[in-house]
Order: sequence, then C-alpha cells, then structure tokens
Amino acid sequence: MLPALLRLSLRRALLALPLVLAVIAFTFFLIRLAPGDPAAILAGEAPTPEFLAQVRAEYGLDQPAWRQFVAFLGKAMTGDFGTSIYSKQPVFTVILERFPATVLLTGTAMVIASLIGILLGAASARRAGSRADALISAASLVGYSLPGFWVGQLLILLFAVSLNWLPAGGMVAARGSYTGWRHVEDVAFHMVLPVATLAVFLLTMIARFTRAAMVEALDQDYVLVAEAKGASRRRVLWNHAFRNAAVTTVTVIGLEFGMVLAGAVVVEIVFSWPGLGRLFYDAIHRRDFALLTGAFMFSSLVVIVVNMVSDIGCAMLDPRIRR
Amino acid sequence: MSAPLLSIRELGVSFPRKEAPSTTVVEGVSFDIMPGEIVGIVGESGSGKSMTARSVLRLLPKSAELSGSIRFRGREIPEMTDEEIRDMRGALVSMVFQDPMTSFNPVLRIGDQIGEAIALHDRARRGRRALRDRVAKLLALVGIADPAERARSYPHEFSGGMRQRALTAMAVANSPALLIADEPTTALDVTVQDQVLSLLRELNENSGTAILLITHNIAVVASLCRRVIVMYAGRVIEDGPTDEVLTAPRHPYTWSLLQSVPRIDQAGTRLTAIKGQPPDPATPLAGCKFHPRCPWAEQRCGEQEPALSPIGEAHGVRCWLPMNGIAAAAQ
Repeated sequence: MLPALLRLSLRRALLALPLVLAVIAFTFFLIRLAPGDPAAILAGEAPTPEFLAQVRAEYGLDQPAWRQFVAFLGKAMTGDFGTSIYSKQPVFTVILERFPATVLLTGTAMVIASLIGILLGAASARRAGSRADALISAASLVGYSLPGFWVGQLLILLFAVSLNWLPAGGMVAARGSYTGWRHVEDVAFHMVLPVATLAVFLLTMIARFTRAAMVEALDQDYVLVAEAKGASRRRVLWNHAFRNAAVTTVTVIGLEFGMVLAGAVVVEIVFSWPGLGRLFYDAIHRRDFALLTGAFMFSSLVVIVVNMVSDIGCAMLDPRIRR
Repeated sequence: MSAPLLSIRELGVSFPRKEAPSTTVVEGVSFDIMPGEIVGIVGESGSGKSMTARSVLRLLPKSAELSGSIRFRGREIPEMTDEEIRDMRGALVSMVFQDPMTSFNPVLRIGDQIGEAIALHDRARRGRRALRDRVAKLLALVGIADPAERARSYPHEFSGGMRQRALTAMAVANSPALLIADEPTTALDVTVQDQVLSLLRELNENSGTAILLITHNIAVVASLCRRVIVMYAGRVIEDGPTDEVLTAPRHPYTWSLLQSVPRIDQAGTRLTAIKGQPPDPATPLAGCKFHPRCPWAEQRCGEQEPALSPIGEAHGVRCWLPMNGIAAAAQ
C-alpha cells in the first residue's frame, strides 16, 4: 500500500492528463477560428498570391485544421512543439527563455499577497463585527474591484513620474549592467511596482476568504474546548482556527493562480516586464499560431500543476480529505 | 465542615440588547460544591444550566454580562486577569463538552490535542517523549485499547464513544480539582453512556475530583450524584440530596418533571407532559417563573417571586407553597 498522500498525488496527476489534452485541442482550434492570417502578416505588404501560397505551404497553413492538429500532436510527442512563425526559434526555447521572469514576478506577488492576506483575514476575523473588521472588508472589496492595468498606471504616475522613487518599467536598469548582489538589488527595485499591482487583487481575495473561513472556525466547539484547556487567544487563533481555515486559503491561492497569470499579461505590458505575458501579447498581434498554441499549452499546464499542488496541500492540511 | 471548593453566590448572566431591557438567562443562582463532591444540575434546554457552568470558566459568549460572585478555593473568578484564568482553565477546573463529535479539532491528531492540554500547564517542560507517554497513559486510563497507536489517529477515525472518552482523558490530564461535565452523555447511545458515567465515577473515587454534572437526564443524576440542583428559567428552584429530591420533590416543577419521565414499573400508562412553555427570557415575567404552568399557583405566585429557602436538612426550595414531600410519592 502506498502512503495516502502519494496515492492521491498520482491519482491527481493521472486525472490531469486528459485535461491537458483537452486544453491543447481547444486552444489549437480556437486560435485557428480567430480572424487574421499569419501568412498575410509574414508576407508583408501587398504580396503576390504566389508568394502568399508559398508562405502558407511552408508553415503547413494550407492543410485542413485537423491535419495540422494531428501533425502537431505527433511532433509534440517527440518534444517538438513547433517553430515560432515570427522569430523562427523553437517555441519551447522561446517560452523557457521568458518563463523565469514571469515566475519571479508572479511567485513574489503570490508569496507577499498570501502573507499579508492571511494576516489581514485573521486580524479581521478575530475582531469580527468591529470597526477595524469593517474597514478591512471595505478596503479589500475596493482592492478586489480595481482593474490591474489602472492600478499599475496610477502607481507609475505616482511613484515613477511624480515622485521619481521607483523605475517605471523594465526588469533591469537600461544603462547599468550590474552583476552579483547589485544585480539582485536592481531587479528587486524594478519589481516593486509590478509586484504591488499584481498582489493587490490576490491579497484581497485571500483576505476575504481567510476571514470568512476563520470566522466560521472560531465559532466551532473545538475553539471553545481549546480555550477551556487554557490556550491563549493567539494560540487558539493560529493553532486551532487558522489550521482549519488554511484549507480554504490554500484552495483560493491555487484557484487564483490562473487569475494571477492572466493578470501578469496586463502587468507585464504596463511595466514592460520581459516575461511570458508580453510574449503572449506579441504573439497574438503577430498571429504567431505556433507560439500561441505553445504558450497556451504551457500556461494551462502551469495552472493545472499549481492546482494539483494546492489540492495536495489541502490533503496535507486536512486528514479528512486524504483517502 | 471543610471550606467549599466552589462557591457561587447570586450569579447572573444576561445579554444586553439595544433599546430594550437585556435578556437575562441566569439570575440569583447560588450553590456550593465541596471537594470531591458530585453535584448534578438538571433542567430543560434554556434553563440556564450550561451558562451557569460556562460562567465558572468565564467561557461565556463575548456579549454576555456576568454578575455575582464565583469563588474557587476562595479566589474570585470574575476578578481574575486573563492570564490567571488561563492558568486555571484545564489545570484546576476543566470541562467536558456536550458534543464529542465537534469538540476535537478535526485537523489535529487526538494525541496532540491531549498533549496540548498537558503542555499548556507543564511548568517542568517535559520532553516530547514524556508527553507521549503521558498521553498514552491517559488514553489507557479511559479504556482505549492500543493507546500509543490510537493517539496518532485523527478525530474522524474515532467513534463517538471513543471521542467522548478521549475528551474526558483530555479534561482530567492535569488532575483538576473540579470537572464540569456539560451533558457528557447526551450525544451517545445508551451503552456508551454507561461507560462514560462509570468513567466519571471512577475518576471521582480514585482522584477525588469534584464533578459538576449538567444534564437533562434524571436517570444520569440518580446514578451518579449525591446532590442535585434543579434549574428552571435561569433560577435554582430546588437543591437537595438526590434521593430526597427524586423521591419526595418539594417544588411543583421538579414534581412535574419527574412525572414526565417514563418508568418501567408504570409501563403502558401515558406520560404526563408539563402544560405550556418555559417563559421567554426576553420578556420579563413577574412572580414565580413557573406559576403560569403550575397547577397549584395562587395569586401571590404571580406577584412576588419566592426566595430559595431551606426546607429540611441541606434541602432548599424556591416556592411559596412547597409540596409536603409525601403526597408526591403517592401521586
């Protein structure tokens, strides 16, 4: 018998496989249904019909969509996800090149949003019904409703343009080519605004759900029992109430990851961050079918994996979920 | 006569309301518990028995207002600091709650939860191993087989009876002087009820723990308690030795309550229900709180509330027209 957690992980991984396949098929055909002809963009202004046909043939665009799909799947099995129509580089290479910048951005935003969100949620659950609680709830509703592109631009206006405290965009200073610790500092400096923009939304979600789950947990008998044992308020709050509410928090973080990735597209454009989001955006404009398919596939895969990890995290937190 | 372990005087619990008189759920409750004594509190739902019990550990809902005096070993509980009350909870006075299914934290191991009760009051800072051994001993004490292994289980892996026993083990982990058991058997089936009651009796006999048993089950009181307190509408209406109160009740409410208990020697007869409903604590009621339902009520019962006054040795009753104690047995 395998340990319950390992068994659960394997089962989730197996269940994810058909999902990944469905996502690939869906995005593949969806892109081809969209208006716009990559051949026309590649061939430049006023191409001759012959040249256009040549370009189409070169990229297999003259084949029926299902044929293209079968060919794509066949190649994908061997690890070849096609070549970017625009940059002529393998799709996989292009994506991997941009991936670390996005991981850095979204990962940092998620960690910061989780920490602050949990603290705010717990603080307002503890004082449920008080003025501080109402204030936190109202503030998080506002934060939740603000669109990312707008927050980003406001932050740029304030901190980069007016106050000139922080850089308005990019990942490193254009003129300095720092190495070592100075490089880390430089990147961190450039991260402040985009991370803040991305974190606001996630933070408010985490705070709201954590608050609700903790208010419910604090009302349970086991909290009273813990108090009757002589546990301090802080101990009751974290060891008992939060330990139960954490399942909700982890689920929200997992589910919201997709939103964060989508938000990253906007934030990367606003802050000229050289990550996957920008790559997607450019690929859409260039009708770079191969790169778009690869990019959709890759990001769906990341979302699926993150959700799997959050499911397993929940099972680790709550023994009743393991089976 | 030794000093009482717990002495409650004129205890009141009320919930303030906006623009209305506050709702009083406990009023003028006074009684003592001697060291090593088992005292039962009976009453129907809403009679204030649980609120009385929770007042002792100051575990009332946030909005509740507490008045009166609760002395434990001479120390006034309402005046203690938060830290002092925490040191007392689970160490000197501990509590077993009604529902064993929800009293354990579902995401923590049973053994860790019992261990927490010990560690919170462990000044010697025993190591992990010593703590584990102590937990296993406690689980064995309450009759759980294979205790070291079972300590690693989660609450959902225990049956209701096992959980109630584990809860009891947790409550007695620090050998408290007083154990408050709030309906410890209500959620259990009859055979398991019996096991839990035997367990409580053993604890009392072996370690001299005084027990305040809250229940609405008169049979439980009859089998375990030497003294019984009957509560109605937030008041103590009768207080006396169990055999006296149960065989020759002096308060009409106690008498009616006993009439509504099914008895094996009167099989086939219809049970007598008490007519009417208990008063709503939100609307003030003049006079004796039982008078609207009392078959013997006269004018003064509805005008002035009687005090709890002695009637015989160690027996008190809150009634203008106490029953004579003989007629009741015959009825």
